[in-house]
Amino acid sequence: MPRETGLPPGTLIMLILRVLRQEPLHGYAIAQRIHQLSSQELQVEEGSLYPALQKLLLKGWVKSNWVLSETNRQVRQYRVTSSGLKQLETEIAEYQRMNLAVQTVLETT
Amino acid sequence: MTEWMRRIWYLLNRRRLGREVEREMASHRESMGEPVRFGNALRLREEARDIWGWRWLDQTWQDVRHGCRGLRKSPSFGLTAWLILSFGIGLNLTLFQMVNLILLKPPAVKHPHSLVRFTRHSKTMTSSGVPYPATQFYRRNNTVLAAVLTQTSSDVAWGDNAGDRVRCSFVSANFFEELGYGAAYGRVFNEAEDEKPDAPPVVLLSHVFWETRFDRDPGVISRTVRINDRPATVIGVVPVSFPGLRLNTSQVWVPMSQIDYFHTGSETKNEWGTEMYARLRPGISLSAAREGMKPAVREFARQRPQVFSEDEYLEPSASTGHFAMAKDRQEIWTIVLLIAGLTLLVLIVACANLSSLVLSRANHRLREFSIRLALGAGRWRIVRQLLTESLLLLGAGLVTGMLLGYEAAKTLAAQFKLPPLDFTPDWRALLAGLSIALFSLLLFGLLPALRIARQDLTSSMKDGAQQSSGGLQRTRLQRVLVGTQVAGSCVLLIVAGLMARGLQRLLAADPGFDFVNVVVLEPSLRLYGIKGEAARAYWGNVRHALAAHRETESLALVSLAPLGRNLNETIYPDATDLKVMSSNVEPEFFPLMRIPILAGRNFQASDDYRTTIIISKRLAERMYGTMNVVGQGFPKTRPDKTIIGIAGDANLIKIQANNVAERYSLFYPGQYEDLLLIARARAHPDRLLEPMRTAARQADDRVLAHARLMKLDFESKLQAPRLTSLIATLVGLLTLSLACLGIFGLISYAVSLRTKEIGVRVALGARSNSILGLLLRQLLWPVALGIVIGTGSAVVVGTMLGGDPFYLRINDPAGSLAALLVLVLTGGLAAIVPARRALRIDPMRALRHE
Repeated sequence: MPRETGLPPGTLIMLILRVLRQEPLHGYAIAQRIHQLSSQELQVEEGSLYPALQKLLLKGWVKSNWVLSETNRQVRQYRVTSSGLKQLETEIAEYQRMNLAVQTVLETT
Repeated sequence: MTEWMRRIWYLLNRRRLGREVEREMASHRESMGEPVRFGNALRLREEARDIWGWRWLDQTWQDVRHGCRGLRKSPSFGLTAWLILSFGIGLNLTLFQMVNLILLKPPAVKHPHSLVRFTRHSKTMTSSGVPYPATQFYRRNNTVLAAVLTQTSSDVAWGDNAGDRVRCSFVSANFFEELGYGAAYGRVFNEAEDEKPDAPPVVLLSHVFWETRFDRDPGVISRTVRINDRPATVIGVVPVSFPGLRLNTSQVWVPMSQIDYFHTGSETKNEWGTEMYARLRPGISLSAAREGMKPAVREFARQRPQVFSEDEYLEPSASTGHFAMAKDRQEIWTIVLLIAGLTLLVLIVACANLSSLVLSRANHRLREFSIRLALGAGRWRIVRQLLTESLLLLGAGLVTGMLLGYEAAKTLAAQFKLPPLDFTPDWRALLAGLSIALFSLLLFGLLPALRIARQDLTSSMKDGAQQSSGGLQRTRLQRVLVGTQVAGSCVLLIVAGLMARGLQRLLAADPGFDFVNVVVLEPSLRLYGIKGEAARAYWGNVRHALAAHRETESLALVSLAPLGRNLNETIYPDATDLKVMSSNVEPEFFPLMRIPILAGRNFQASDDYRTTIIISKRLAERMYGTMNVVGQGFPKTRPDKTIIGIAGDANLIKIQANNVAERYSLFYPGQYEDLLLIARARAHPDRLLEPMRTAARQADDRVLAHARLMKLDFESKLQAPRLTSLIATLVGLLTLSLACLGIFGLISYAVSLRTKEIGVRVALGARSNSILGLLLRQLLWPVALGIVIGTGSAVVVGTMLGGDPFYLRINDPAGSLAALLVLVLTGGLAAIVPARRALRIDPMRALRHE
C-alpha cells in the first residue's frame, strides 16, 4: 500500500480512521480530506485507499453503506465503529511514541 | 461478528462485494481531476480482494477447473489412469478388508475384548480342545471367569435322508446370550436347557439355512424336524448378522447338554475335547486369567491323572486375531504381510506406470509451462497444477477402488466359503484407503511434478520438444520407472508361475496314494454309543455284505480318512519341523491306497499293535537322516516301538504339504468305534455308494452312515488352491500389461524426442538395425536390472511362501521360466512396435519439422 503514497509506512489506516472520526465519508472524500488536513502535504495514491478500506472492513473497524452524495450520485459511505475508535487511539499512541523516540534521537547533539 | 465470520460472509457474497468495490473505485476516478494518480485499478481491485484471504481457494478452484479441462481433453489418459488406480487401490483394499475382518477387528459380539479362548498346553503337547467335563469343572471352580462357553461342531444327518449332511454346532446354552445375540424369530437357548439334560430337544436354525431350506417360512417355529433321525423342535432363527466364533459356518445349533440325544451314547460330554471360550471378569487381563485358572487346572489334573499331565496349563488367546494362539499368530502374520507386500507391489507398478504417463504428458506441455514461467507464474504454482490433476484422478480412483475392494472381498469370502461377513468399510478401511492413496500420490503425482519443476524450462522453450539430442538424460526418470515396473511384474509373474505349477502338481496329483476309485464309509459309531464288541460286530457285518459285491476290489478299516479332516498331529523332538499324522490301519490299507512299502515289510495280523510301527520315508529321513532304519526303535529318543517298514510319502491330509509325515500302527482292539471303512472299486466307485449305505443300515439301523467318493474330498481340497492360483495369475498378467504399457510409452517417447536425430541418421545412410539398436539400447539396463532384482526378490518371496498354505517350490523352475519367458516376449513386443515406427520416419519431413 505505501507504494509512492508519500505517506510514512503504516500510517494510512490511522489517517483514514482519524478523518472518519469526525464524520462518515465516502472514498473520494476521505482522500480529499487527508489531503486538506495535511495542508496539501500528504499525497495518497488514491486507489490504494480501497485495499486499506477493505482491511478496515475485515477488521470491523469501519462499517459501510450506500448513500446518495451531495452531487446526487450513489456513493459508499464509511463510518468508524467503536472498536475502530479504540484502534485509532492505540495507533495514535503508538505513532506518537515512535515519533518521540525518533525526535529524541534527532535532537541529540 | 468475529473476523472469521466476516471472512466467511465475504466468501458467500464475494461477487456482489467485488462489484461494489469496482463501482466505488470507478466513481472515485470519475470525481478525480487527473485519474492517472489513482493507480492501476485492476491491480488495486485484486489487492482489495486478497485482503479477505481467499486467494488460495480461487487458485485451487482454478487448478481444479484447469485439471478437469485437461483430463477432458485427453479422455484416454484419464480413463487409463483411473482404471489403473482403481485396480491398484482396489486390490490392496480387498486384501486389507479380509485381514481387517478376520484378524484386526474383534468379532462382532458383545464386549469382544473380555472374550477369550482357552487351549491346553504342556511341555509336550498343545491341544485346541478341552475335555467337556474339564470345562464344567473349571466353570464352577475359578475366580477369574464370568462365564464359560463351549462349542463342538460336527456334521449331522438332516431329515430322512442320511446323505443330507448339515453343519451342526453343539453349544452351551448361554452361547447366544453371552455373545449378545437374541433370535431373529422365536427364542435362543436359555440356561434351563443346560440344567436339565432331559428337557425337550430343541434346535436353532441359521438365517441362511432358514431361507434356503424353509423358504423363509415364519411358521417354522415349533415345527418338528429330524436330526440324526431324532425329532427336535425348532425354537428360533438366528439373526443373519450373527458372526459365530472363528468363522464358524454352522447351519443349525443344538444345546450341548442334548448331544447324547442326537448322538446316542455320545461320549462327548465325558471325554471329547470341545472349543472352550470364556468371558473374563471385569479387570482381568490375559495373564491374570492364565494364573487365575492354574489352581483349578491343577486340581482337575489331580482328579484325572490319566487324561491330564502335571505341568499342564490353560492358555487364553484374545478374540482379536481370530482367537489364534500366539505361535500361530506369528505364522499367520508372516503370510499376510508377504501377500500384502505383493499387492503393494502391484500398486507400486501401477503408480510407476502412471508416473511415466503423467511425466510424458507433462513433457508435451513443457513449452506451455516455460511460457507461463516466463510470464511470472511461480514454479510451485505449476507443481500445484500438476498435482491437482493427479489428485482428481486419485479421488476418482479411491472411490472406485473402495467399491471394488468391497465387492471383491465379498465375492472372495463367498468363494472361500467364509460365513457372511460385513465388509462395509469402517474407519480402519477408510484410513487404509487414504494412506494407500497418499502413498500413490507421492509416487505418481509428486515425483513427476518435481521433476518438471526442476527442469531448465528456459532451455526447453528454446528448442521446444524437438531437440536434436540430449534425449537421454531427459528419459532417466522414465527408465528408472520402467525398471521398477519390470521388477515388480517380474516378482508377481514368477509367484503366479510358482502357484500355477503348484496347482499343476496338485492336479497331476501324486499325493503318494491313489484315491480315484476309493469310497469312504463314515458311520461315527462312537457318536451312537456303539462300542467294543458291538462295534466290531458292526464292522464285521458291513464288511461281509460289501465283500460279496462284485464291484468291491478290496476293503480296509482305518482310523484317519485320507483327504479328510486332520484329527491329531504330533511333533517329535527329534524332527521338530515335521507334523506327524498318526493313522491306525490294517495291513490291507497299503495295497488298497497304493502306498508302496519302500523298505522292510507290511504289517501282518500277528504283529503286536503296541510294538510295531511303519513310518513314512520323509519321517525316516528327517528323524534318522537315512532310510536304513528298519529294526530300529521309534521314536529315536525314548523308543517304545520297532520300525518294521518304511512307507512311501503319502500326504494323507494336506496334499502338497512338505512339512507333514505319517506314522502307521495297527489299530487296537478297542478302537472299532472310531474307525471308518475305505473300499476300492474295480471300475465304478459310484456303484458302491448305495450298497455301502444299505450294508450299514442292515448292520445297525440306528446309525445313519455317511458314504462318499474320496474324489469329492480331493475336489474340495483343490478349491482354495485353484482360486488362489487363478487370482495370482490374473494379477500377474494385469501387472505385466502395465509394465508393457510402460515400455511402450518409454520407447514411443524416445522416438518422439529424437525424431530429428533419427532423421539425420537416416539421411546419412544409417541402417534400420542400427537405429533400432539405438532406441532399444536404453531399455537394456532398466529391463535387465528389473529382471535381476525381480527374480531375486521372487526367489526370496517364493522361499518364504514354501510352507502352509501355498507350498511354493522355488526349485521347480518351470513356473518361473515360463513367467520370465512371457515377460521378455511381451516386453520385447511392447518395445519393438513403437521402435519400428521410428524407421518409417521420412528424413526430409523430420528435418523440416521445426
